[in-house]
Amino acid sequence: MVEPAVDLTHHDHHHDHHAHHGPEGLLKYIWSTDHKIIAMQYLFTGMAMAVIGGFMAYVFRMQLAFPGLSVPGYGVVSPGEYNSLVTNHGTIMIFWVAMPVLIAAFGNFLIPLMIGADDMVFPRINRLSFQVFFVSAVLILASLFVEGGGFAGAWTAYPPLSANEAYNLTPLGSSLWLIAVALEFVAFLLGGINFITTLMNSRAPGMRAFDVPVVVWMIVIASILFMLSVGPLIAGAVMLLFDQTLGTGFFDPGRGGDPILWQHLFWFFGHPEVYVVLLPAMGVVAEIITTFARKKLFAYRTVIFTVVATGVLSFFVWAHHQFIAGIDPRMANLFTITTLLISVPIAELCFVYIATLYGGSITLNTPMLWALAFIAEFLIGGVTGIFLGAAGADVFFHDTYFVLAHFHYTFFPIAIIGTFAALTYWFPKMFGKMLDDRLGKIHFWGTILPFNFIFIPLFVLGMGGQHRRIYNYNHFPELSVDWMQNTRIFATVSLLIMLAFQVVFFVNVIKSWRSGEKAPKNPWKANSLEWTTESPPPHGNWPPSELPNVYRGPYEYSHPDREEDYWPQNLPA
Amino acid sequence: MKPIATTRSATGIQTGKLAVWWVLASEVVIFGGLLASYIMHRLGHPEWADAAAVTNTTIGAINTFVLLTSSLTAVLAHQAAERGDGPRAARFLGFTILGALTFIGIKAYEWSYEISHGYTILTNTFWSFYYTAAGLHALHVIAGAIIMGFVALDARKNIELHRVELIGIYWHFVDVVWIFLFPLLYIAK
Amino acid sequence: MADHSSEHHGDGHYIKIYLILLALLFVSILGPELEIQIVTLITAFGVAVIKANLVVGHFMHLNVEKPIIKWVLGASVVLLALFWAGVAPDVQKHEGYQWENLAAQAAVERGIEDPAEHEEGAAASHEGEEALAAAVIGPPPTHGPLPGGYNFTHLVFWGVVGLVAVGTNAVAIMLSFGAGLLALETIKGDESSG
Repeated sequence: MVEPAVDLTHHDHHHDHHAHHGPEGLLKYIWSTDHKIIAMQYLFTGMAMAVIGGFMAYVFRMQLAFPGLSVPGYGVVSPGEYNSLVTNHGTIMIFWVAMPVLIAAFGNFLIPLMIGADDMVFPRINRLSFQVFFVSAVLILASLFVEGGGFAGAWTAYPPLSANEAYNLTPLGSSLWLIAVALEFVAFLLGGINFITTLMNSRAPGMRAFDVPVVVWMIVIASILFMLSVGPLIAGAVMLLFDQTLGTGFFDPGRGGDPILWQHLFWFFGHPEVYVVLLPAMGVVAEIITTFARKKLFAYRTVIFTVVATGVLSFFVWAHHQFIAGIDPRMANLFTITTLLISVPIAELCFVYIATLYGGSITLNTPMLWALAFIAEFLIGGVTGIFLGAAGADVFFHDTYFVLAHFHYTFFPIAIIGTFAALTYWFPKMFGKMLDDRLGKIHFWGTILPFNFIFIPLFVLGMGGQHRRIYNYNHFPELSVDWMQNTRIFATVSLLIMLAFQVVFFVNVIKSWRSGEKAPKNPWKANSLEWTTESPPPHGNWPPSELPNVYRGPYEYSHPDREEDYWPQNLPA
Repeated sequence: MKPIATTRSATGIQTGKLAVWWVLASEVVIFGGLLASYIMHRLGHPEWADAAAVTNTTIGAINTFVLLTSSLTAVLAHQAAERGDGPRAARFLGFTILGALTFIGIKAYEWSYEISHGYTILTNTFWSFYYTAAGLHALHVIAGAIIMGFVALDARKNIELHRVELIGIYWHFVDVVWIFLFPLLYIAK
Repeated sequence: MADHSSEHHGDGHYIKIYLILLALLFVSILGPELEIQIVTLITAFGVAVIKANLVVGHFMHLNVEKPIIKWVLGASVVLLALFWAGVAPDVQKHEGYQWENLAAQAAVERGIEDPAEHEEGAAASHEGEEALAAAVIGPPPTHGPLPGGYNFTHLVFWGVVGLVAVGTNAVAIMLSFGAGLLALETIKGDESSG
């Protein structure tokens, strides 16, 4: 791996003396303020946590398919452990996989490069944000091993279950879980400020607002959404922590508190949060399809305005998670209308992508396959959300596997498909080597096909009445009929196949790293600024006197005045 | 050696100041979420008036005066920094820190009094909100004072004078939060 | 990189604002002395809003700052109001359309606990949980107090559902169409030069 130089600021100067003798390489990577190194730190941590989250899914799916039997590599799953596994699977996948990889890793790597800057505006705060994030990751993993086990009250942590140790039986685990999540929020608040300020102020000379690549806009708008929505939940987390540890009664109705308040505090953040992770994934897809269709993005300005509108609208829909929680039905009415409305701008974005592809000169390589799969699979997720957004239908569907299948059809495209799309597209720039396209396609099909065979059956099971968060359906006569149990086994086997195919990805990465073809500056002949520098970029991204100026937008492909079918942003007219 | 990115300014607003305002925007929703939750409970539970009657309005008013004065010294420190007078700015920042310490000291006295008379965070939910809200605010006062100390040390040597304005903006925000906490917890009983 | 827009104000300007703030503090303390609730509320919170405006406008220099900052702050305040508006019907009120919060109503009846009677708190809390479990859902009323009434809401609802139904079907049609075209292009592309 090519070693970028490290910025040792005067604060780090004393480390320099150690660095002369000791493990110089390792220390460099730990103390760096270079945005690319920090991006790698987030990426590797996120992917390691993905392996852990995936392992949890394996264990609880095996329990559901073969209840009571010992799961290979884990053992027998007790009811409490089952609850802890599903809770931490969800929590880890959202907060320690989707967010760090899509926002922190790719945001950190791409934003300065794509706007022609040499680093983020606050490199030391950037480093601090990763350090806080790393502590939060350690804490959430530690929570699994303390006495009583990890928190088992679902990632939504509703009180009184989450507040009262007599109910949740995990006094240490619950508080560690809560503190880990709170620290993760702090890390992303710090990171978010960096992204927003960097985009607002540090663009290359000549780069107007609408010359910025869509993925950068998406990540920054996502950061703004996050910053404005997480506040009430941080307040709520403090209140819940006090309820857990001190015995206050913020959410205890008998003492003047209200458990519904927690639900509102949680979902006021929880709904914008899903758009926080969706937007970067859609941005990645936009970059890939324009490059491999050799076509400009259809209606770029409309896309930006639509995304802002979606962001605003996302604050108005939260209580659709609470339709049967006992909220006032008049509010449920309002939230149904807003929820149905928000499907319109997202659908419009999918139309825009399809319009971008139409008439293009399409290359179906691995990143493009991932991008196309995102559009198709996310559409299924979005459409099934309509059923859930209607309060009446939701009375039946809430807490069934229909919900679960819906959000996996949205989260999986976001967190897994989006990640692999971004990784396969920017791998040459990040690591200086080309990935094997054939192995990439095998990995792609081995992931996408089993994915559908896992979750389509779950829609059917949900419609059949299977509730969520039950560790053993043998206790429910109507739910343990043959066709249902066989379907569960089928879904689990599909998961095993999908997990097995992930090995192909790791083989591909290792093979490329050791003996892969060296990547040129611009293997895909793309327009944006990151492709104008070395692969991987050196410290400072460009030589100090050669920071790029920008003369046009990022999507000038197949321009009639040009001989070549692309027109990099930094070439003077 | 700062990256060139830090010195650019496409919006015309200095980067550090832009960042502080974004921090404040997120703090508005954090404190706002907590206070909105408190207000909703307080309006729905008129019986809390009996618990709220115990809080000491005089001490609250004195603390308000202390914070307002510290805001004045903070903005005067900024004025000094604008004129390039680092040592004067550091002196006024010092007065602001003194104000912060006075505020914390008075609060410590107030809380010891209340706790010794049986009004702890567990007494009832009004008191839970009281200690949580005022406590979160006090944490921000302490954090602000510490950071202000570092800025003042640099300012004394005429280094990084623009930071005086930045920590000032944060400090005024802490003051504004108290401006709302005071009527909520002390006056509107 | 200092922002020079505030430089034309001397120290005196800020001392003037400070004295106004102190005067307002005085007013807010005197308000409750009159013992008229509405006056207390106006002096307490009205003064708070004015004081906050003075500090934010003059001390933080928001009145000479670029507009984007005001928009950012405005957004957070608006979102806070939205949060309150969406949550208050459930948390601030203890009854609504076909529901009642019996535990909270009981707490209001009981009155606030005295610290000396803390043990009662535990008993009351248990009572509260039972009450919650027994929450009653009343019979459907004859008139629904909905914004604009039932008919209006249903019209809007079904209108939106219709739009979305058409939209999503259009998606399916366009996707299939697009996929077919893509396939054709790829096949045609293989024959002609890349």
